[in-house]
Amino acid sequence: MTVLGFLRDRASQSIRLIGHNKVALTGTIIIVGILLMILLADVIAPYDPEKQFTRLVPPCSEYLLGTDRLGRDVTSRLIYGGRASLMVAVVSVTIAMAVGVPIGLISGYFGKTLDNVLMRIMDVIFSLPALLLAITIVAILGPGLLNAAVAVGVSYVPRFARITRGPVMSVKERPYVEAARAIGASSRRIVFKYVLPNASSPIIIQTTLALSSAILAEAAISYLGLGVQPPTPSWGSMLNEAKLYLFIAPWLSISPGIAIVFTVLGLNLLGDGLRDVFDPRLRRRL
Amino acid sequence: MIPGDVVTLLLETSLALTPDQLLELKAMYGLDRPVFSQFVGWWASVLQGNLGVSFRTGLPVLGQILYTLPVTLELTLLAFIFSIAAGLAAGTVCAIKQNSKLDIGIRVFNVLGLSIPAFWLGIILILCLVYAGIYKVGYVSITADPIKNLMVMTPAAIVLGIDLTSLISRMNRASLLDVLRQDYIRTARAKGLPERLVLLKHALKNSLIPVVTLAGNEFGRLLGGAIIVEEVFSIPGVGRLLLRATYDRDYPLIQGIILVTAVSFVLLNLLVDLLYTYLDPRIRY
Repeated sequence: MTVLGFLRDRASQSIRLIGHNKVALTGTIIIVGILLMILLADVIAPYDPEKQFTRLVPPCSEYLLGTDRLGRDVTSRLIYGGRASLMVAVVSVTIAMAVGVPIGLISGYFGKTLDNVLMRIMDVIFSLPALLLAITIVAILGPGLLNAAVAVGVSYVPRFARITRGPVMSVKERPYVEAARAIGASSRRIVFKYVLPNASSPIIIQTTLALSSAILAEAAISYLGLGVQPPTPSWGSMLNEAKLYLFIAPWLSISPGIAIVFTVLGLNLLGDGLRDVFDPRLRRRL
Repeated sequence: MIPGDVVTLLLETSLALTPDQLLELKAMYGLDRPVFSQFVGWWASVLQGNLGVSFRTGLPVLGQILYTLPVTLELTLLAFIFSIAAGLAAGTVCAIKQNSKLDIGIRVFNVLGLSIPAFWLGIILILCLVYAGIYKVGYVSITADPIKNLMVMTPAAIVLGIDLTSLISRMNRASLLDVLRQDYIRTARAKGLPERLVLLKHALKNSLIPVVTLAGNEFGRLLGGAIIVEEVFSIPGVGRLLLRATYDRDYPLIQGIILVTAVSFVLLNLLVDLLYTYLDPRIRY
């Protein structure tokens, strides 16, 4: 069974299990709702996110969430802003996985000196708080959407390396891996066909949780003015622009925050739910 | 280092210089040397206890960090104490009254606490406190006026500690539930110890081990989070210094702050490891 085939089987199995798990189901519904909102942005957004009307209109029937300092409709910017926020999150987690999972696999499967070297490098990255590291990387690369994604991605690499290494180390000692080795399978075949699929649950759980913290990180970096740059809306950069108008136009600071909370909440619920589904031993614990 | 350097940045804001003067200025800051040579030079002086001089202000980097560090330490320590106190209390209540309404309420609160961006919570809190008339924007040093200082630091610390509180409360609930099922708890109850003693002396001390690990590992979260919370609450700590340095591309200052933070982070992890031996005498190093 290949990794893809395994994931397909696992996916249909998970969907069935998620259906029975209230926490995961709630999370899934929130996430699907938000994905639909940003994919159908062109249809459901009432106005063009960069079109200007009267400035600083409080929420009313015409502008549901009011207008900002340049007279742009906050509702529309919120809907389009989700695109940038989620894009940064998805790109950064993809980077973190693409680098971290192979490192974890190699480290866990081959062990010895290689493991030691790779894990010490991970420790070095881990010895800095993620947000601090991300801000430093942005400081070097310069502000921007893609750079913010790279910065967050790099700071999450050790998480994936560690979460992959552990299960790989235990799976590689199982009898079926020994059997595969006995019939002469190559290391590559063993790793991709037997080890990775059987070590994938924690990686899947970590992915949803990393997505949620990546959204928080993007928001923080953009709020500091180092991430997504105007006029492109993102939830973090909207909060940055709202900063100076906190007491004149508080509605500008409230709605992007609620959008972030909802998305992150959905991903956290999904992650917790998946953990219950994949790891029944932990079910009663959290 | 793509987005320009401090010299070009200074030029945009102050008087125009001739190309010759520009080169001279770059040579003064060492920006004309290759990056590698700049880096080695920096390490050489760091080992002699010299973190260099800020490009922007001309002040020694170490002095600026040491000046702001106590502020950040006060903030993170307050947040840490708040997280531990609130997290342990909430988690313990949850474990004792498992599946009660209170338990479910606290767990919902925990998930929310992990989903709210700290800086946004800070913005909303400032908004509410100002409308309620009990908060004045502006930091006062603790030596000048401790009460005014705490009026600013307390809300900032609560905001900073909110996600750690949720994490600790979750972890404490899980680990206490585990411990309460152990045989030695049944023995303690069977020999007639009062429930309070069973809980405090037998259960909590054992359930604390994973909580200490978590709290120690996540202290870095506070250091990272302090950057943005300081910005929101206008607290002049290391975080704000780093942000100013980032905006100014003040590389010696950025390098110095990263170094100091990383070192304190590593020392902290060591402290946590040492704390284990007290909580669990079976562990020896």
